[in-house]
Amino acid sequence: MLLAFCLNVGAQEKLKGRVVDAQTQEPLAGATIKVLQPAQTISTNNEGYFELGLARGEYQLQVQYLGYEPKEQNLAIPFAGNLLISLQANENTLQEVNIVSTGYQTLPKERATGSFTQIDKQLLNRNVGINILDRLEGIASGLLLNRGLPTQGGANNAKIAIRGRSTLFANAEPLIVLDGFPYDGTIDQINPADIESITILKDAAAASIWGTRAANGVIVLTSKQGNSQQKLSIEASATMSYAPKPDLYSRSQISAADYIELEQFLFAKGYYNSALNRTYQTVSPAVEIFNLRKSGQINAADSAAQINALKGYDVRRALEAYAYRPSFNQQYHLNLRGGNAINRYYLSVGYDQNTESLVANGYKRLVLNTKNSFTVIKDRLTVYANINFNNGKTKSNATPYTPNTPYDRFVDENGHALSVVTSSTLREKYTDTVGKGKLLDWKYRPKEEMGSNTLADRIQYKLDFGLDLKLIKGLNLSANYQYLKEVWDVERDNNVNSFYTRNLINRYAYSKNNVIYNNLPYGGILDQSNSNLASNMVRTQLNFNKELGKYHTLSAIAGIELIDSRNSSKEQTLYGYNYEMGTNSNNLINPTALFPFYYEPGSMQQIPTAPSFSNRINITNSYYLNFAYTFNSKYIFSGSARKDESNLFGVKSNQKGVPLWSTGFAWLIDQESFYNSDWLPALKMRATFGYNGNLDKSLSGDLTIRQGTLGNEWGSIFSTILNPPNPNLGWEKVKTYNLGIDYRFKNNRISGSIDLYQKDATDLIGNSPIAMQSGVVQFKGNSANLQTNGIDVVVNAANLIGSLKWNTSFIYNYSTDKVTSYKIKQTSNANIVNTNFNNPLEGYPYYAIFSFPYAGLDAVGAPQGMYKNETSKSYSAILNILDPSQLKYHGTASPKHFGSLINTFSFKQLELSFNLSYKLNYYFRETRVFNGSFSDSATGNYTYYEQRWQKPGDELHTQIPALVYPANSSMGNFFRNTNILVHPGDHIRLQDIRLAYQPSEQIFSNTVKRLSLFCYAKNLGILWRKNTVQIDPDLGSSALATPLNVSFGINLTL
Amino acid sequence: MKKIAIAITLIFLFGCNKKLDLKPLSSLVVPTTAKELENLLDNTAVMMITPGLAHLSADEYEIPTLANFQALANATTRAAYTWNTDVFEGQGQVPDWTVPYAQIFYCNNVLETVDKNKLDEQVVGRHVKGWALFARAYAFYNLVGLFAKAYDASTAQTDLGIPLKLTAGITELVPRSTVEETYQQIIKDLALAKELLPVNIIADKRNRPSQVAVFALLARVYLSMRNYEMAELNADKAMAIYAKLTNYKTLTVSNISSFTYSSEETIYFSHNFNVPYSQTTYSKGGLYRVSPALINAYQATDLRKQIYFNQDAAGNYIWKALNSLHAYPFTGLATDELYLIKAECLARRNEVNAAMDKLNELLVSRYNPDAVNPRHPYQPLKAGNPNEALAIVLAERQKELIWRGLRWSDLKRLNLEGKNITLSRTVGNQLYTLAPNSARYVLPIPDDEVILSGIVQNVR
Repeated sequence: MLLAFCLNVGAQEKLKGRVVDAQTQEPLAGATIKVLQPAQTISTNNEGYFELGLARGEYQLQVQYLGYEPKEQNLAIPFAGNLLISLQANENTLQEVNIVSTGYQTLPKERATGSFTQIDKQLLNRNVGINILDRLEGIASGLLLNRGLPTQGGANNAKIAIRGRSTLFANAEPLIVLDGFPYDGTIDQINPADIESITILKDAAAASIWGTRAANGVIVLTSKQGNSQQKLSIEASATMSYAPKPDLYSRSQISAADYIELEQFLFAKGYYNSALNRTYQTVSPAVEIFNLRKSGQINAADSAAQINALKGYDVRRALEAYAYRPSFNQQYHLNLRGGNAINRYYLSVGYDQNTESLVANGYKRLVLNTKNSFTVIKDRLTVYANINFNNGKTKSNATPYTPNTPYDRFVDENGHALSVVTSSTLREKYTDTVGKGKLLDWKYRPKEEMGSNTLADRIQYKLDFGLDLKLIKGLNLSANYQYLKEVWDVERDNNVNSFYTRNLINRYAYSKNNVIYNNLPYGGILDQSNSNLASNMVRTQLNFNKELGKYHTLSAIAGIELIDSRNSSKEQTLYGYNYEMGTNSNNLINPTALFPFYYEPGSMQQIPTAPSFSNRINITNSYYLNFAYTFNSKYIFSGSARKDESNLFGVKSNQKGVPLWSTGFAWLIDQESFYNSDWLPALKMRATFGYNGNLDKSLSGDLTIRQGTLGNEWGSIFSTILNPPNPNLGWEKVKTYNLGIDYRFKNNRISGSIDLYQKDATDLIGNSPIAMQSGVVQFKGNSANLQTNGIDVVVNAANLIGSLKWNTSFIYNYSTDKVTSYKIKQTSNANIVNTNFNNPLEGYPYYAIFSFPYAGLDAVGAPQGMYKNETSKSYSAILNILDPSQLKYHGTASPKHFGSLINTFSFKQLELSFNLSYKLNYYFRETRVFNGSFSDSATGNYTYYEQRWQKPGDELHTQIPALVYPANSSMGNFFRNTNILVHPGDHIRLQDIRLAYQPSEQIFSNTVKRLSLFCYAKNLGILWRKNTVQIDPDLGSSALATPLNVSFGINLTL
Repeated sequence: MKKIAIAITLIFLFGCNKKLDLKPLSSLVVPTTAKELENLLDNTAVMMITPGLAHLSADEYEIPTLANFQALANATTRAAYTWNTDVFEGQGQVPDWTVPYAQIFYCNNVLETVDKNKLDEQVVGRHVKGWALFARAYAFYNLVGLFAKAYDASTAQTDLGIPLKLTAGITELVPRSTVEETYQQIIKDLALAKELLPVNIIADKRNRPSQVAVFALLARVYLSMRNYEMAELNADKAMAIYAKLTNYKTLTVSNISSFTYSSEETIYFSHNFNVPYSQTTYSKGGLYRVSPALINAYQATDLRKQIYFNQDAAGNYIWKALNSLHAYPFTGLATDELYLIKAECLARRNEVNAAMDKLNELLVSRYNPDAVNPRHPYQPLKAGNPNEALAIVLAERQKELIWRGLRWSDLKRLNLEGKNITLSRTVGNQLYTLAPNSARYVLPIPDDEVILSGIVQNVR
């Protein structure tokens, strides 16, 4: 038997072949070639080649590649020459990529035990956003772009959550990896058009290789690359997007008439007395009129006429005309790629220009890329060198105008600028006459200040080079190095005509013998900040890949990675700035002197002139090992281990590192001889377990102080305690379990995956209030555990095939978290309701939403709650009791169920697709609701003000409290957090629609390989929502509705 | 090739292991030297502040109208003005409590670091240790004056004091001590501080304590304990080193302030924490006025009337920034207080003439020497008997030390010895009174402290 077996092996013939794109002849790397009987599977290498050992006989091969029609081919062994298999691109199938990239290695998905989500460029380019991460919304399973989360009280919100939460207060963002190295630069500097594919690493087996940075998942970006034996191919694309002005009326605002009545009420009560007594303090135009009337300077008729005129204004009319414009974004991209046996190259240039809806705001980005790799010794040594340069420029207004009243009037009928008052200006009456004309003009005219005054310029250089050396068969050594430099300059230019500068010069002016002198030199004020990021990353890695006999395949990597990333920044304000000469007058200012304010000599301030510096250093040394062992093409065992050491502060050397590991198992059920299903030809089961980590570098085990550079009142340098000593400080650890199934039905009609996971995060850093006798108000230390559970389901279906094609891609994610232990207890129900996430309650999610049960208004319009099961108006008692059973628990503010449904129809050259996204089972709190107390801000808490209780009997049909004076903050705090203001967030949204047209190639000359045109629309609105208050839960109650955005684009391949 | 790669890796590795000791943020320091600890105590934003509730609760000011009362933005200001049972109304992180404990936290960290690194073997280290002990005692004293009963030798063993936090570890919480233990700790800290601090004041750095400051604080502490013998002894000790008075005639009368951070009479500088309470302490907001009875006690030739106060449009007297370029009222230690303590103690032991002499020594510097009428230039005060002398000293004490936050503890101790002072305020039609020795002379411990550390709340 043994002999026969050996003989059989000896009789094997080699089959060499290659898989290419039928149209472009580009090689397809990572295509799967499956031999049906006896079962055997292999993937093509980077150049599209594969090699199989087969005994003589007849075979059937199945060849698959994402985005291509699968192909079956019969052949007889021995086969003469190379087998060329060309696959037909299928633009309409959304299938899974067969190669996943962890950043350290690429491996066939079939060989992977971990849980990955892959996005190819086609899916990525459905959306036209200029930020690569924004494009992932609604297309990536297990990934949620957080929107509309509570922001008060320092909630630790991440922009992106992969599989829910894994931490409380440490970094909650996933790690971004670009072409193999952690990306420390700014995400906006990556041009999505340069990205080939994205792999999201979700479980321990997938992500543990990233060690302490993997706790929140990893997003691996792979950029486009040239292929060898590909002729020069040129791709050009252009996209234009347009959106009208936002609707300023989409957010509720108190009417001018109501606001003036409120001011009148407060005036009568004497609320403004203190401001009016001080001649310079801002009061609104209406209050000014009431005051003139009161002192008899105008008569009743004039006063009424002036007030009526104010009631007729609405500041939004002028804002719409002068502060906003339609937004218009342009994107252009050109790339050249190709290669031969020796050299592969990719060159690209991308330019983006955004004209944003606020007239002051704009963005420009230029990205240049060159990637080159050379085969120095055939089949032995390749080297590569990539250079990337990019530059992003952002324009904005650092001092935007916020109206002080709803009736602010900053332009007259003819469009001329008028002056207004705000909380940062002085009173009109005061600035009319102060200084008798000797001071600078002290008026604030928003219309003249609408333009941009701040320019942020970000330049990044990235250099990558490395080599791949074949040592012996199956063993390669690769060495990679990356240098990244990012320089960020922000200049805020307040020229001498700007209100900001005139105001400051006047403030520090003083008068002596009727002559005005300036403490702040005359001239512009330039705020400069400069930050500099430089990172060096180096990695040496051994790659082992070998089939050991017929049944065993081992692939393993081991490596060392060193990261040294340094960030320095400098900030300085230059006074008396002369634009022509570039000079300033900072040396004329005594930085330690206190300068009195012109209008209030008792108030004094220093004018800081010295630059401030800060330097950060991040050192990480990592040692890692990863292997996958496949037995008989059916069973795969994987394992990884990693140790990270970091320059943690105030921790003993042996605590600077943490070892993390994972293990996994996959079973290709379809490869079993007993498995013989016609309708479900592909079935795989995966199970993994392991640890990821997280750390908070701001913490220290020792007493840490921040050394100051400024002097105190007596000129002594002083410092501040930053961290109290915490000898028990440790690392956060996340234990992750994952159980998954990959399936594919007959003829690829339905395929997808199902994953179940659980994450147990332990020793989480908690921010807990601590008794103030300790000298600090918060304790930060390892104090909590969190458990997250979830399900990810992906279903891809080809509903119709033929000339009319209909594909559906369905994503369903379920994720829920629970704080399983928290060492420090809450202080009061008010804290639980207001900022539970600052001190989470055990047994509830991080984003738990609680409220006070509301018992309606009483006969005088005062809101009532429940205290110890009785109706009560003891707000302070209701707020301060600590008894969660007195509260109503609604649910979490982060959706438990979410996902999307993408339907794509194609007929001949036309393709139509739309994405429906849904978020279910979560809650949000309506904010800005009038709570009985007035607020100093006109745009403040005045929603439903007109519905407030005003006369006895109103309590029968309104829930909104009566206006009280003086303001009752406890009552306001209670009402703001009652259950009637918590609404379900559940909704279904039409995320986007895309229509593409791709003329058949016959109509072009030979030079044009492909042309496609598309139209894309987003912000199309909500199809269904559970809340009845017409609020978009993704935006919350304080944001303006985002207007419909339409894009047109063209892609051309030569 | 392989060897080269491995060699490169090893070189990097060797280089990078040292790098693990680099500081992640350049401004971070684990303090180990006396100078670094001195920088911590020089952090005046933390160390120079005293609570505001003593001023809010006392009778040096009033809110003239209901409208002004209602316009007070801070709920605690209103509640303290009317001596409500609940003063904080659930407000957390009450600065009157958190700020002194933050100072104690700084001091404890300094003390532990000095001990750990044996820094008291050198001069700067000794000064820093003495400073930390002094500042801790100062903070304890400011707390006990608000949150505990006045010191009464007969009940101090059982009356509840404040938590005496003597370690830096933030998780080591302590229960309330007794009033006796609190005062003994203060005295003990000061006795130790005296051995370590420089003798005389540091004229250009008046936020740093000296032996003069130790004696001055002991005099203030013993006076509040009604241990007049020790109060006088310590006032003497302080004045023996430093007793300079400024002739107010030499000051420039300014709308803002006639004083600086380095004013001559200052022994140790601190100021009232007044950010939330500014509408009752400074001219900003103008919602209060100095109590008319008190303002009327200043005579026309009294220079303090124009140096301490401004008049608003309605003719009400309001406060000027004193001994500070800030808007914050001065609450530190100064020589004038020593003269008054000395005079009071003399009067209490029936040294009528000596008491009046001490008082006149101070007052002559407060009056206009060029005034013609009614007094020219200053006529020394005289008393016929000890009671009269004491009454005169106490009246002058109120006028001289106005706005320093001392009145509240004076009311507490004087009522304890039967002065029977009833405070009252009128808001609209409502009359509020505070009876002598009322439980409401002891402010409630902030609720969040009680919940988180479980210490005993005061009964009001």
